[in-house]
Amino acid sequence: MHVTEEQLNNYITDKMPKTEQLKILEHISGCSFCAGKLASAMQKKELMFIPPGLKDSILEKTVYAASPSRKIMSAGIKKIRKEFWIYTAKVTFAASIAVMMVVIPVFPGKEDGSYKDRGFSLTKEISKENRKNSSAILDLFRDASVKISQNLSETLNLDNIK
Amino acid sequence: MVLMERMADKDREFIDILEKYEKLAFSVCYKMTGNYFDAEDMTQETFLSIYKSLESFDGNNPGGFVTRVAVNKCLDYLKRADRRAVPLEDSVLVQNVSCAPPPEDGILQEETRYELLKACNTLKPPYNEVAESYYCNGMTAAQIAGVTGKKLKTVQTQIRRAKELLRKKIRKEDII
Repeated sequence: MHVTEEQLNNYITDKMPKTEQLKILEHISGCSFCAGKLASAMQKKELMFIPPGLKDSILEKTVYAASPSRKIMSAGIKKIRKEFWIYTAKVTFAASIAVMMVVIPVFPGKEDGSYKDRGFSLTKEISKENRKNSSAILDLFRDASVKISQNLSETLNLDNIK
Repeated sequence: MVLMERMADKDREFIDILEKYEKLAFSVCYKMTGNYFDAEDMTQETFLSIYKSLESFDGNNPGGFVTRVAVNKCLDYLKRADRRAVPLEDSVLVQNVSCAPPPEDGILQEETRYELLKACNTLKPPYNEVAESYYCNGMTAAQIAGVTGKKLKTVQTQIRRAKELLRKKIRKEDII
């Protein structure tokens, strides 16, 4: 048996014993017709204001979470970020090796093994081969910085779209 | 606009229902739970459930559909609370049903706002100011960040923390 208008009104205005409230709510939970009547009766009164952020939170967990474009975008950004960090690690490693290649050959200092003028020998005793290596390393750094800046700008652009 | 065009019909229908009936769902949940934050949780659960079962909805009487789902969610919640509670003279389920005051025009909104404001003021800084701006003055996290000069992430964290504190306080004191 459906809920009467009087019962609904008593429920809304809190003039109904709690046990009876429970009964009509149990009925409404399985009856679209009475749920519709309750909806209409509630809408005649002033409805509550919505807690801030609730709508966004619901959308985040439903529409936005299921959006394929968002998933693709998110996967793409993750891939780019991963590639960027791998590339950065490679460049850092290469740069470390390059620095070692420059420093180690001049480290022993003078032939007698003395380390007295080591600082001076770093610039003076650098061999032609090492100079060549140094310019190659500088080129490597230049290329790397260009690629890093390109990667960064791509990543930032995608973040803005997101 | 382009995003809306790309959006699936299901998503558009869901957003339409959400925008039209979010207040109704929250009011039904608040009427049944009598607690602002529990009502917020139940409203969220209601719409998550609606989103999942939208294919089975025939489009007739959307207000009734939302109300029925909300009532189901709240009854489940009250039954869960009833099972957790120590048995007293009257079960928690019966005690909790409609412990919210009747929604007289305008009064309920004001009373809820006032009680929220009181609860916000009991928090320690900086949570009291953030909670008042967010819950009572209707400011967004970005607006609060702009006014206070704090970082957006800091404000978002403070709002989350304030919400946890308010939830505990309100549940403990049962003020709204």
